[in-house]
Amino acid sequence: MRDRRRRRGRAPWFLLTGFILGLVLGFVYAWLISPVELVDIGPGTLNSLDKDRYRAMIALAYEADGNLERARQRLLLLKDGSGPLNLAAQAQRLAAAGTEEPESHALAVLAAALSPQSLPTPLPSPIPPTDVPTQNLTALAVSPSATLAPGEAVRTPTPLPSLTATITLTPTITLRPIVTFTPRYTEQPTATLGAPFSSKGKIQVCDPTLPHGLLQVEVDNGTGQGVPGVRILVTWPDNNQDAFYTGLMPDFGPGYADFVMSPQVTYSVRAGESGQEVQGLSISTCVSGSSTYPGGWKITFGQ
Amino acid sequence: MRTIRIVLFLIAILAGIAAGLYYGWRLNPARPAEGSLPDLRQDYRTDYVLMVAETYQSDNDLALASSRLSTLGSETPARLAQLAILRGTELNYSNQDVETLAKLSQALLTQPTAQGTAKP
Repeated sequence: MRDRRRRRGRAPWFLLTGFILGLVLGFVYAWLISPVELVDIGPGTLNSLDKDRYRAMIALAYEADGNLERARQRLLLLKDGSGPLNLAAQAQRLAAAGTEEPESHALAVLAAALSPQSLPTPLPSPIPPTDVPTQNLTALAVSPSATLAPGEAVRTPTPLPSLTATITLTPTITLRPIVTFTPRYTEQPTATLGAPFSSKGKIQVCDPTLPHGLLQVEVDNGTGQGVPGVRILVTWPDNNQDAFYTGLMPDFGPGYADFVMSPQVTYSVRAGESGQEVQGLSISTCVSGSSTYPGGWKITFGQ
Repeated sequence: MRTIRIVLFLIAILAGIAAGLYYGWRLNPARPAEGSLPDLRQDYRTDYVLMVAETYQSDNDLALASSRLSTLGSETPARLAQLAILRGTELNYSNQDVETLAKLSQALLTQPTAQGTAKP
């Protein structure tokens, strides 16, 4: 009787012990033995390195096809507010690293295209409908002279012999007329082909609200429109140089770029690969009343 | 009575394991919840291949295209392009897009040396 009363009064500690023991086992299994592995993820879940790769591919694809709406939709998949700022920052990182030049250029161009100042304009000529192939797939078609039309079938590329055992490709692809969104094209100012950029003017900038020694560069094409994605090369003694691109700060216009000069250093700046070099740039002296402060320069390049 | 206690003890352990797994897999995974390009879902992989194909159509650099495809995993670039054609067709890609993919696939098949230059 006394035993039973004692047993009733005892808390069920064995249950708590068992639960904690199971909890520990669960942690060990979930964290050490079989940790979570992500599969079938979206671009928004990529690590930062692969997000950069994905973003660069979006920019390169945009540069190739000029389809801004598609690029915008793809950027939305990254779910990181990939506006012009992210693109510009990545372009700047690549340009500073001195590698991946096509990528940084493409990123700068896309950043400029997505900037609020870039308003979409209609294409000058109609876009061919996307459901009709524009040319023959002679290399892939069953008949070398066959022209693809809606409903026609083409043979897919021959599967690699070594992989036929694992994956069987469907022998034919039937191209159906389908409704697709019409690619929208945003006309971006582009550099006039072949014409190098030359200096159109250099003015001293005295604005105490700007960073001291700010070198502002504006690059325009033959029609006076700012051109994004132009490589600006700044050099200074002892073989030092820095390269960056226009269009990375869309708020200041597609052809704008800037650079902060250091005191007592003389710089040269050039727009494009074979453009005219402007030499002898250093921090200017601005006068405000009886005091002075460091000023900058604004250089305009044109074609 | 003793048997009941043992059964209850085992049930408590199982409940603990379930709670531990739920916490370790769902609420607080051991690895950061980030993946890499090979983990992309098939439709996103297809779109990535399409982007590579569009770029290839513009620059005609097959080695670079092959290198870019190699970031998608261990499959050969040619195989990735072929799978993208099939998947793109299933996803109702426009003929123009399928054609772009086909051109890349064909180039990768006819110039297999480009696959050798792919960087891992």
